[in-house]
Amino acid sequence: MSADAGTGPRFCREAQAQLPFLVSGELTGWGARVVRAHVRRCDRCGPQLARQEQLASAFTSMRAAPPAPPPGLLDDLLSRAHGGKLRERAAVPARGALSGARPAMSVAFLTVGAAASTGVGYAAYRGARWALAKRRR
Amino acid sequence: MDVDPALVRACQRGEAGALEALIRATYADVYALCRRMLADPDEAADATQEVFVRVMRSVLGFRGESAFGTWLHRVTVNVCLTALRKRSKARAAGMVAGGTPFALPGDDVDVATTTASPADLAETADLVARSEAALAQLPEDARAVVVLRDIEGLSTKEVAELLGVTETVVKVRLPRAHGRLRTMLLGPQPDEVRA
Repeated sequence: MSADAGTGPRFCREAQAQLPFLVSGELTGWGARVVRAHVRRCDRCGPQLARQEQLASAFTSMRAAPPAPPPGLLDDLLSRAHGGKLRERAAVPARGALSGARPAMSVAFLTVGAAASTGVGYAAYRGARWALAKRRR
Repeated sequence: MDVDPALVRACQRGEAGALEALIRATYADVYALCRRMLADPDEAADATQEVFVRVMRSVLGFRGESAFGTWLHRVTVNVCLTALRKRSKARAAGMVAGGTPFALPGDDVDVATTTASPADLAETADLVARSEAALAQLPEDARAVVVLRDIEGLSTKEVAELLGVTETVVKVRLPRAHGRLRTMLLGPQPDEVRA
């Protein structure tokens, strides 16, 4: 925004473009002061600020009165939630009931455990065979 | 969309009734957002169904890094944007019957004079009804900005992120959309400078 005389159609256009942000409080500091000062003494932009405030009031009323959902929508949503696969998916616990681990962690623990068990078993087998061979000699 | 985190955790544990409670607590807000973004009750109902299908598929993976309400909000907006994109493609392909349900840039729609309100209607209800009608007349991209920022209360930055545009684009679209709304709701203003 130019900091010239603060008059003229161009300045009015820039000031009016800032009105939504001024009214909502998003425009603060120096910018807000410049726009307010212009609006106070401009015959064109003064009424626009009042209109913007009316629009903001309409938004507030709209927030307080959201459109009501159609009557059958909740039943449809609940029947989908009750039915079939979605329900089963939602019923799977996200974490292990005892360990508290996530499913991916549980799979990782099981894989590492199985590999370690196999390794230990194989080492025991090789050790037993070596011991038997030594005794035969 | 404020949701009790305990309710979300109960859903993730699969507790009986938790999913139903979550739906009951949030579906009206989800529908309202869809209704305003799409400006069509049937499409809004379909979009609400789609939102909860996604929620039921993804709630187990929700880790609580942001509030559940924020996440649900994002899912809802994404579903609406997808629906709007499909609608645009269908319209471009000539698959949508009838006229364009939204005003095109340059159209002059005066809701203040075209919508007759019953005399006994409360002033606020009348204002809301006229505002909703005016909102529905906005082009889709402008309506999305107004709904998310002015009604849902998101910041300009959040709106830009959700819509996949820059903050500058939001700052340009918003005054234009407000100008159209002011004209539709309050009548034309001769001294108004078009943004």
